[in-house]
Order: sequence, then C-alpha cells, then structure tokens
Amino acid sequence: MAEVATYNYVRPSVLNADRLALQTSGGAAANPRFFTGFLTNAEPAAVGLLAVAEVARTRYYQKPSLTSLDPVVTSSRDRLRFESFSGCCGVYARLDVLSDGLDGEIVEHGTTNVDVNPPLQQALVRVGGLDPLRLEVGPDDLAVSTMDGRIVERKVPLPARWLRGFAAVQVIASRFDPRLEVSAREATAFLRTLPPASDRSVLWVVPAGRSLRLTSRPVPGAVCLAGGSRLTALRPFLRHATTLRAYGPPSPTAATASTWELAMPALRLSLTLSPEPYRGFSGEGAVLDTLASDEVADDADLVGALLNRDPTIDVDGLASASALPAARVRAALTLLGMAGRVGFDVAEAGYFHRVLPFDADAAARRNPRLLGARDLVEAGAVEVRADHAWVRSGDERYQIRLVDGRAVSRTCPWWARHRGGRGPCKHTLAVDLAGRRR
Amino acid sequence: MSKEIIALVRRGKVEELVVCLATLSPSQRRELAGPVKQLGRAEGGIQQTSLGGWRAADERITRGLVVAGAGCLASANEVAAWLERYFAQSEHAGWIAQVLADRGPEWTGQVANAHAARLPLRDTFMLEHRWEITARLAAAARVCPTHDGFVLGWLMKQGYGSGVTVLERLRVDPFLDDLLPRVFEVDGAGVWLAALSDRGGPGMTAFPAALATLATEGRLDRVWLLDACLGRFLRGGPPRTLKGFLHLHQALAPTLEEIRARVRDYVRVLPDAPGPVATLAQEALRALDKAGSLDLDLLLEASSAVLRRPEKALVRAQLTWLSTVVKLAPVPVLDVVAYAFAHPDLAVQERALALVEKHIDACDETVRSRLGEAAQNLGADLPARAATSLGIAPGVGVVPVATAPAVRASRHEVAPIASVAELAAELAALEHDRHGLERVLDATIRFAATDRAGLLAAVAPVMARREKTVAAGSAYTFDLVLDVVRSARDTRLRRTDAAQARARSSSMTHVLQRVIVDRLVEAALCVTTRPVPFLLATPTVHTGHIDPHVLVDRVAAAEEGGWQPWPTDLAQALLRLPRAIDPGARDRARDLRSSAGQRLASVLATGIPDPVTRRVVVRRHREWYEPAGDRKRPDHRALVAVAGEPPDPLVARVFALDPPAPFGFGDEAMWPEVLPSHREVVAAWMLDHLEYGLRGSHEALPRLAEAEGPCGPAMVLALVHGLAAEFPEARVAATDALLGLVSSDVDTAILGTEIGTLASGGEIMVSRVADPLSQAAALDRVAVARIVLNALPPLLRSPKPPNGTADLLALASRQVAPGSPVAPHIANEVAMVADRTGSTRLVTEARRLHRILSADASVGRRQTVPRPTVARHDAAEHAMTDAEG
Repeated sequence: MAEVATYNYVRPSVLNADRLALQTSGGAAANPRFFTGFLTNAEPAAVGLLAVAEVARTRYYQKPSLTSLDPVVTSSRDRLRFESFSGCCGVYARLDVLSDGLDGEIVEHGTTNVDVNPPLQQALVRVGGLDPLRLEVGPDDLAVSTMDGRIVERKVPLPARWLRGFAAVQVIASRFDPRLEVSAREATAFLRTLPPASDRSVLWVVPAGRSLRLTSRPVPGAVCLAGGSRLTALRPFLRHATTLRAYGPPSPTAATASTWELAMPALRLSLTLSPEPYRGFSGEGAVLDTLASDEVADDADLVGALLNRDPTIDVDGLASASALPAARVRAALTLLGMAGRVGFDVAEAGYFHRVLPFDADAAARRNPRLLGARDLVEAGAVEVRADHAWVRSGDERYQIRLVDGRAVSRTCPWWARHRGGRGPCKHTLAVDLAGRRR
Repeated sequence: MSKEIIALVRRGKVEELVVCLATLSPSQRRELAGPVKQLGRAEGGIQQTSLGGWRAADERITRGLVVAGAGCLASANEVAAWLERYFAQSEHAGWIAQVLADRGPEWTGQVANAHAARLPLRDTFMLEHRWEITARLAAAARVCPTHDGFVLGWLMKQGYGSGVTVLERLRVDPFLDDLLPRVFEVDGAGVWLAALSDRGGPGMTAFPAALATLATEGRLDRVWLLDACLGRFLRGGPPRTLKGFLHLHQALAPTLEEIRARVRDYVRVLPDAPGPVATLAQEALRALDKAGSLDLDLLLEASSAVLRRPEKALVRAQLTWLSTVVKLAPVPVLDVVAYAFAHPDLAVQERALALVEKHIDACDETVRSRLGEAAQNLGADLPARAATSLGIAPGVGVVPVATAPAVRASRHEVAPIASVAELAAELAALEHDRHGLERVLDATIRFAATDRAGLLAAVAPVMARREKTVAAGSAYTFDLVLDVVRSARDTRLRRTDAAQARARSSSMTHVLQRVIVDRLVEAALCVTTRPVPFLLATPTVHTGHIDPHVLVDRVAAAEEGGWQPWPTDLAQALLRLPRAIDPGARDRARDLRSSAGQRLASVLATGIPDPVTRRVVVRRHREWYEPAGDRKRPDHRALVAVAGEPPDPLVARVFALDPPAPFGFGDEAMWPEVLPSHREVVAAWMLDHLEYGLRGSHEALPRLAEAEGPCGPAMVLALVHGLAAEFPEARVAATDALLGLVSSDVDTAILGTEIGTLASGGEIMVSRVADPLSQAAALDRVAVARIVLNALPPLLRSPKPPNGTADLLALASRQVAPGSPVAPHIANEVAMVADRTGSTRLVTEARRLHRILSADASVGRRQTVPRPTVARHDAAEHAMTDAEG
C-alpha cells in the first residue's frame, strides 16, 4: 500500500546571483539547515546534481505512472551526498561532494529531502566555469521565521516497493568490489557505443587494452551492464570526470546489479543499475533471510542506537562499543541498510550513516515474501525432515532440499525461474523461520 | 424519498433527478449514498452477463448514476472517482455541474480538479475521452486544473473542430493563460505541441505558429514565451519531447537583439542538448557573431562544447566558423580546435588538423607541444602528419594493445545430480531454462533404475503442477522430459505415444532439434521396457563433449552388466567425442567386444568423417505475409549445402543438407552441444536463424567458437550474419565468437570477402559491421585489418557502394600499418575510387586509405600535404598479400 510523502518546503529552491539556495523538508527536523558556504567546482557540481535529479524523474522501464520523488541530501562530517532513486525502482544515483569540493561550514548532520524544481534545473544548466558557487542547504532563520504558512507543499505517493528498493540498493552494493577503471577519454568512447534506449539486453563489460569492451557472457572479471542506455544520465558529467570505475559482485554467473562511477578529485557521481531493466531492486530479495532473524534485529537496534550518537561508521569501533563480534555488527549494518538507516559507498567500501526521511523500516518488514512466510509458519504448513522439508502452499506441495540445515534448492516456481538469483522464496523463509522457532 | 430517487436513476430521468436532488439536506444526501452505490454495483458500469460475457450498462442508468452520485457522495474525490468508474460523458456535464452547484459554490471546481488529477497519462484514448468532461466542469466552475493529464489533454484537443484553425480556437480558449506555462513543464507536452497541422499549413507546426501569431498580436508575452522556450531547451530531455519547442523557436524567429539578451542560454544549451537543439543554438550564435556582437570568451566556450559532440555536421560547421575568426586570437582558438582531434570521424579530425596546420606559425613552443599532445588522439596516418606539420617529436600515439582475448571460457566439467531432491528442483527449473536438460535426463534414468520410488515421490509435486495446466502429449521439450518420468511412473506410455510420434516426424521440427527429441522419446519408450542403469551420451564438459575415457568406461560397464545401450543414445554419444583422442582411450576401446564397444573403437580410431560443405546461392523463400523488414532482402541468398558419408542413420540425417533448407525451431542454444566436434554442420543448420536474427540463435555463436572442427563456408556465413545482426547483443556475441576464432580457425581473408559480397548484394547491412569490427580491433588489430581490406573490393566494385562502405574504409585506415603490402586487387580497387573526382565521404576515405597503403611507394604523388616517411612495421606481421584465401 502506498503511503504519501508530503514535502513542505519553506520556499522553492532557487539559483540566482551566484547563490544556490537548496530548500529542505523532512528528516529529523521540519526544514533542517545543513550547510552554508561554497561549492568549489561550480559547474561539475551543478551537472552532477542535475544527473541525480534526472534519475529521480525518469522511469527506465515502463510502469504505471508514478510521480517523481525529490532527491535526498545527507550532510556528514566533511561532505554532502545527494541521492535519488528512479520511479521504476531500477536505477540509484548519488553525487558525493567531498571535502575538497566544499568550502564552508556543515551546520548540522542529517538527511532530508531537497527540492529540485524545473526552474532550478534550468538555472543549474546555466552554471558555467569553475568559479566557486555559493551554496546553502536548508533555509536561513529569517526564511523560517517570516514564513508562517509553508508555501511549497507537494504530496506524492510513496510506494512500498520504491522504499524497499531505495534501501536495498545499499545492501546489494555492499557486496561490490572495484572491477574496472578507465580514463575519461576511454569512458567517452565506451559510453558512445552503448545500445539505444529501446534495448533491454544484458551484456558484460571487460577491459580491452586500456579501454573497455562489451562481451556477451559473464567471463571472469566482467561487470554486468544491463539496459546500458540507463547510463545516459552519466554523459554530461563525462567532460569533468577523470576516471570511470565500475563495481560489481565477485564472479557472477547470471545478470547482476552494478555500479558505474565517474570521479573527479572533489566529486563522485555514481549510478547503480538493477540486474535487468524490468527488475527493481525491491524484488531482489536482498537479506530477506537476515530480516527474518530476531537476533540480528536486536543487534541492529543496539548498533542503530550507537549510530545516533556518533554518525561515523567504523565496524571495529562499533564492535567494541557494542561488545558484539565484528561479523554480527556487519549483519546488523546490513539490516540497518534495509531499514534505510545506513548507505553504502562503493568507492570507499564502507557504510555511511543516513536515515532516509521516509519510513523504510516498516516497508522492509512488510516485505510480501516475509509476510507470506510468516503466514505459512502460522498455518503449520512447514514440515522439516532430515535433509529436506515440505511446504504446503495453497494446493501445491513444495520440496526444499537442505544441506546442513540451509535450503539449497526447491521445487517451487520462484526458484525454478530465478534459481536463487533473486533471494529466497517465501517457502524457504518459512522453513528458516520454522527451524528457528523449534 | 430515496426510493423515488433510485427509481428516477433507473429510468435515467435526469431532469427530474436534478430537481429532486436540489431539495435534499446534507443528512438526506448521506442516506442516499448507500442505495446509490448499491445500485451502481448491481447494475452500473460493466456487468457480467448470465452467459459469462461482459456488457456495458444501459445508457439511461449510466446517466442516472453519474448525476445521482454527484448529488450524494461525501467528497469531491469520491465524486471524481465515481464519474470515472461509471463513464460520465461530456454531455452529462451540464447536469452534473448543476447538481454540484446546488450543493455549494466550491463543489464543481473541486470535482473538476479531483477528476483532472485522475486523468491517465499514458492511455491517450482514455485521456482524450475523459478530458472533455473535466474541461466542461472546469469551465462551468471557472477554474483551470493544472495537472499533467489536463495539460496533455488540452494540447491534444486543440486539433479538433472542423473548419477552425488552431489559432482561431486558441483565441477563444478559456484555459490558454493558465495552461501555457505548464506546457513548458510537463514531461512529454512537447510531443503534442508538434502534433497538429492546419489544413494547408506546413507540417505539424500549427500550434507553435499559432502561439507566435498570438505573441505578435500582443495576446501573449513574446519575451516570456522566448524565455520559457529556451528554459525548456536548457532542461533537456529526449529529442521528440523538444520537437514542439523547436518549432516554436522557429516560429518566433528571435531577432539578434533578443538572441543577444539570452546569449548565455544559447551557449549553455550546446554541451548536452539533443542535436537539433544544439544546431539551432549554433546557428543563433553564429548569426550574432556575424553581426559582431559575440564575445570571444563565449565563442570559445561554445566551440569547446560543440567540438566534443559526436555529430559530424555540427562539428564541421563549428570548424568552418572558427576558421573565420582564428586570426583574431590564434592560440586560444587552436587550443579549442584541438578538442576535435578526439572526434570519432577521421575526416573531421583531418579538418581540425588542417586548421591547426594553417596557423601553426602563430604558436610558440609550449602551445605546439600542447597541440602535439592532443594530436595523439588522432587516428590513422594523422598523428604522423601532425608530428611533421606541427614540428613536434612524433608521439607514441595510441597503439591498440593486442592482448589475447579472454573469450574462450575455461572448460568446466559438468557435475552430475546427486540426489532425487536435487533432481526435483532441477526438473522444475527446466521449464524456464533448458540448459540443465542433459543433467536432468541423466539423473532421471539413473534414479529410475536405482530408486524409482524415491524419484517418483520427489518429482510428484512438479509433475502434478504441470499436469494441471498442460495435457500429456505436448511436444514441448520440457513435457518430453516429463514423459520420461511419466512412463517410469505409469510403466507404460498412454496417449503420449501418438503425440511423440507426431513430434518426431513433424516437418516443422528442425533436424538438430530432432536429435534431442529422439533421445527423449527413446528414453520415454525404453525406460521401463529396456531399462539401463545410465546413459552414454551425457556430456562431461560444458561444450557438450564427452571425455573419451569416460565413454569407454561407460560402454565397458554396459558390457559387464550385460545390457545394450539405446541406439540413439549411443549415436549421440559418439557424436560428442572430441577430435583429439588420448591414445590410451583408443587402446582401451580395442578390448571392447559388444557391438556398441566396437563402434566406439572404430570411431575412436578414425573419427567421424567430416561432411563436405559447399556455399550455394538459392532463391529466397518468400511468404505472402512477409514482414516489411524482410521484404527488403534480395531474392537470392547464400546458404551452405552439407553432404557426407554418414556412418549411421542419425548422423545421416544431420550430415545431409542438400539442397539447403535449414528450417524449424527448438532449443537453439543447445544445438551446438548436439555436434560439439562438427561446428561447421551446426552452423549450416543455423544459417536461417542467424540471417533472420531469430531468438536464441546468437547465443549459439560463442558456443560454436568453443566447439571443435574445421570452419568452412557455413561458419564464415554464420559469423557474418552475426556481425551484421539487427540487435546489439547479437553483434556483441558475434564479436566474441570472432575473437575466439580469428587466431587460428577462420580464414580472415575469406571472412572479409564474404562480408563484402553479402553487403554488395544487399543481403546484410554493412553499416552494422563496422562497429563490432572496430571493437574487435582493440584486441586483434591484424586480423581485423585483414578482414576489412578483403571486404573492400566487392563493395567498391559495386555501381553504388552501400551505406557504411566509407566507415569500413576509415576502419581500414585506422588499423592498417602504413605501407603494408596488400593484395594487388585490393590496392587497385581502392586506387580507382581514390582517383574519382568529387569529395564524397567515400572518395575522401578511399584517398586516405590509398595514401596509407602506398605510403612508401608513392611519396609526393597525390599528396598535397608534406608527409613523414614512416618506418615500415614488421612486414611479416602485416602480410596481407594472400587475399585469395
């Protein structure tokens, strides 16, 4: 069931007279103020912000119409991150403005929605040259005190799958490693060879000399590129970037998600693509098994409480503070990722603290497969034997093969179609849950 | 009261209904809502008939319902949803508005807004239909909804009304002022803005022209309109959504003064806007420059943006423009011109280089070295020319790295299925992915012999699920596998026999598919009558091959167990032997005594003889319903005939394709596994699929590259059709296959000639070939150069060389080392085109290639530019003289 996101901005974001005033809504405060100072690389930052906004308003795969949602900005100790998630739930974009790209004061840490309206988009395109651009994130006190009524109010439906997907990207990306790196010159040539927008093929990218080449099969070291035209949003940033990097999971055998990142010293713009254009991140079933576990949930509460006090994420530090083994802290962080309370930065291979200004946690817990599994357990439909289990679901009986108590294959249609590539089915989860209850 | 009203609704007496509703108090309205909703559910909208069909409700009750709903439902949103559900028509609008007005002054406007918010954006038919009533309600309430759907619907509706032009309609349109700003914001509005024409008017420009006229008349603000238009260009988007605004810009025809006031916007459009918008901005700026009012800084910013775009025409125009201003500030202009050195087109690069050469004297040492660095991006012979003409040390340039292509997947062993539970899961998965077929078949036969009860219990749910929807007797591969289980279960075949016989003899079944089908049918027929403990033909390697030692073991075990292998299974197993046989296996096979063992021994000793394959040209078979794309194909086509001396009936069928008519469907991706040591035969049988780009066929190409056997005309044709395939993923697969084969197996000269021949005959589109070949060149430059050079003679010889020939010439120029020896007929064809007058791209590129090929032999013959003498590359490496192949 879709909830409704309500954006209450004090006024629209504007760019005039070399001052970019981004307006905020939601999160810890109603209209938080995060940053005041300068963007040192005005044009690249503007181009990157536009790319993030473009992903927010695009549906790369046709789905019933969905209003676009505003990007989200996170301020942390030394940087600003702008994130967005496409309406089709298949593309995630992030612009990281690193400390070199900022010259000013981070007033407060936190995450909030940021208004990027059509006139602002036009104004951002007009930003040229490398002169610093004055930036404010959040309204100044004057604006808050003089405006009693909120003058920009928008309500947009917030589908549960969108929320789940936005959070799940972080968890999926946490399994990625850097795989490819080429110069911007080679990247330009490579992005020119991408298939047209209508193309939905799943291809693979491998290094060829100092450039990149498409190949048809997942050879070792290849990164999956599915619906390659979805990388279009990267193109404008190419003229500022120095390198293109690609990240993916180790030794894939079937289509996987992948992250494509253009970097320059002070900025990083990355797009994460779902395994196929019609697949949203919400349906990938990431960490459903972790979600089903109560122990990890308790750990996550503990680690989450620590994060609220100190937003730096250092697994060892958290482990000693929480007196948990590092592996359990990692599992807890995964769960927090699904709840939208941490993000993952592939370039630095680490989590960062950001609490999405939506209730992603509830959406994750209402995962249809998880609910279905609970229903099956409640109905007593699970029958666990030594090396296999039977699950009765509707008129059908499914067999689940167990090796060391873990399900390895099953006879249900979900597994037949995806063979575990999109997470466990509800029958497997039901067997897990039933196993834990005993 | 409510009974009376319901009766009026039923009879569609809306006039009386309106009067009746007006008298109701709020509480009476609340009471009425229940019965009205009930009536709607029971009799309104679309109802199921007693016969199970569907019918729309009677028109009378429909109008009664919509009017009554407007009078009694609790909120504007509810009324809007009600009007949508029960198909309110625009002619009901008057009554609805009246009923709403009776409830309070704000109701009509609220309902209009709520209804507008519910308009469908994608379904244009429904949008048009429902826009009308929204508009009438809005007009009655004197409000204007600004929701996306209402804006799109408004644009679509401007073309309606006979004898009235768009302009005349807009003059009296009540929504114009409120909706026009939204036209510049709503995604996709630009499509409809460019979709209307007046009778006799030019193109689809009626709407933009009307707006421009209204601006001239002072009805609209011209300044605002122009700003909004440029703002839309800045915001960008797909070209088709900007088309309407291009028309608008053209219709407004901004003056120089107006352009000057917005000059930054025009400059900032250049980097990322779609081509037509960038062209427009370039023209506007150039006009400004001609009038002498464009700052140099802005010109340089504009140029650096344009010169990095891929469109040739835009870049050429910009270079021409820069050549007129270069004298004013040579250094900054030439620095910008150097961006074009990285352009993908050689002619553009050359033009940029020529411009730099002309003004190089104005540059000092540092500028020259900067330009020299940029010159390393140049292609073909241009870096060398730049080294001389710019007076800099020749750079290393970008030398393609010739690493061994990681195309051949490592050979991996196929692990057998270990338990009945695993088999059940794999069997279920077979429904969607046939690649597990051999493993499933193998395990089914093994478990049927050893653990029949366990097997049947494990697979029962999978069988039951399929049997619920698909009747036995289906000839799908998946169902044929289930048939094997079924005959093990029922210990006899029932109705399936007949169907299988049909599947077997069907002329629609492709011969390679029939090998797969025959094995499955054999298994189903024999699993209970002649049970065997295991199959012989299960592959041990993913290519489909069987390790010879393993096969000897299997046959020896059969002898020991005293059972006869099934004949089709044996024949398939022999076809799966690799070409290189370990002598140890050969020796062991000699000791086998059974007939199967002796056949194995003889095949291991001599191999299965390769059939003769021959390229033939046949008349294309045409269907009366041929799709438009296929109608362009020529009447003749090249296929491959196969003729051999087959050792047994199964092989006889696959080794005979004369005359060639390789038609039929099946599990294409599995066909290479049927004949893993005779890829030429598989290719001959798949040419139809590859030429027409049929599903799954391109996946077979890399598998063929991994398979074994000589590559003859069929493999060559298969590669050519793959490289020229319509879909990008097929071309990528073909490139993989090419890289796997060029190093040893395929004769690149013949491959090149075939590309040229098919392209000049219209059988393939040569424009599609250039890109995959240049991708392959990054890994194997020498082979690609040879392919491309050999493709040229047939293309250049044809009276009208097809589109894309110039691309191949340019590709050759990039990949051929200067002064390489080339077969005389290639050099002659290139020279003859190079000698033609004119400056078409074909001739220009032929001249370039000719220059490179004759770099040593003819210094100063045709060249007008001074050129360096380039050291000959390793001649042996580039020996291209044996093009006859």
